[in-house]
Amino acid sequence: MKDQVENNASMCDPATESDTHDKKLMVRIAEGDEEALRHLIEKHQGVVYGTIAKMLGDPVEAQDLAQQVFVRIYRAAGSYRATAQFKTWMFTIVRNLVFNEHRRRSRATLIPLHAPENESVDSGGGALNLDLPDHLTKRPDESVLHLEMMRAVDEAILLLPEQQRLAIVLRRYDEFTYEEIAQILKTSVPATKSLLFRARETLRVALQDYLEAKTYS
Amino acid sequence: MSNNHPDDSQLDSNDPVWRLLAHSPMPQPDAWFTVRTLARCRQAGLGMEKAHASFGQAWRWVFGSGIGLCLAISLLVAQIHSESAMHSKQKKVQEAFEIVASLGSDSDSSLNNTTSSWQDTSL
Repeated sequence: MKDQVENNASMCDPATESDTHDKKLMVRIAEGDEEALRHLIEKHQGVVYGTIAKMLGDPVEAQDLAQQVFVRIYRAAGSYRATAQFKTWMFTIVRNLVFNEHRRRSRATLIPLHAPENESVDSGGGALNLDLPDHLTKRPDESVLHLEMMRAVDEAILLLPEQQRLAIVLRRYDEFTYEEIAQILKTSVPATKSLLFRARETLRVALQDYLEAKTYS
Repeated sequence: MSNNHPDDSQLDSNDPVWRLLAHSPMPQPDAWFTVRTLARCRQAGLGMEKAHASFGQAWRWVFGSGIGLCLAISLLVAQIHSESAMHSKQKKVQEAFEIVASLGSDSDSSLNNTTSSWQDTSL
């Protein structure tokens, strides 16, 4: 693996450089270097946690799954072969864990301990923003509108089928290419484009009010 | 991640849905995420070592008990073999005795009819 890493290092594209750095870190992790593991976690925790949180809509569960991703990476470091891009490989782990979690959730009926007080405002149940409402200070109208829009966007994403949801999160937030998304989702590039098109159309319908009001611009 | 086709990126940036999605940023992990994850990895590593050690221990047990079993079987077989050899030896000796005994009884019967010279007939 070391030779492959050295060969890749000769290229000077920033994405390739980052990938080479990741692969070097993996070599060091396999040798038992904890500092390398710390670097790897610090480098990727944002995208891994963010993607999982967007997929599940539950920050606590997202934290647990994101940790599991790094535990799996750590465990697999010894047998890791640098054949594909590190990030693609890492997101394949993310995909497997998230889809497993979806399956687990679909089998178990989860009942929330506390029903939301105001259904019209907090109808998502799985909305990402867990901030407690501030009743003491009055928010400006724009801020409220923006918050509401954020919630609506998150809820619309959460309502997408899991493949479409992951495709849209990877494309929009993680800026993956179609080829990389296809690799992660284990599908073809045209199928990925079709997934993204359908996801966009669903989101367009779900967020029609906001699109028409043009409050986002 | 930046080798997108330029048309694709342009298509994305022109799409109002795409721009609207930007209003909901990616959530970020808390400040303790790295520390907690490292601790969990360490724990998983220890678990792996334990599992590895227990596997080694189990393997040693299997190996040891296998050798013990082989030894016991070979001892048993050896004992059975020596017992059967002893038994056949004893049988041969017994047969020899029986032959000798039968020969002896035959000669005794012939002797019964005649009085020996050393026997005192006057009594």
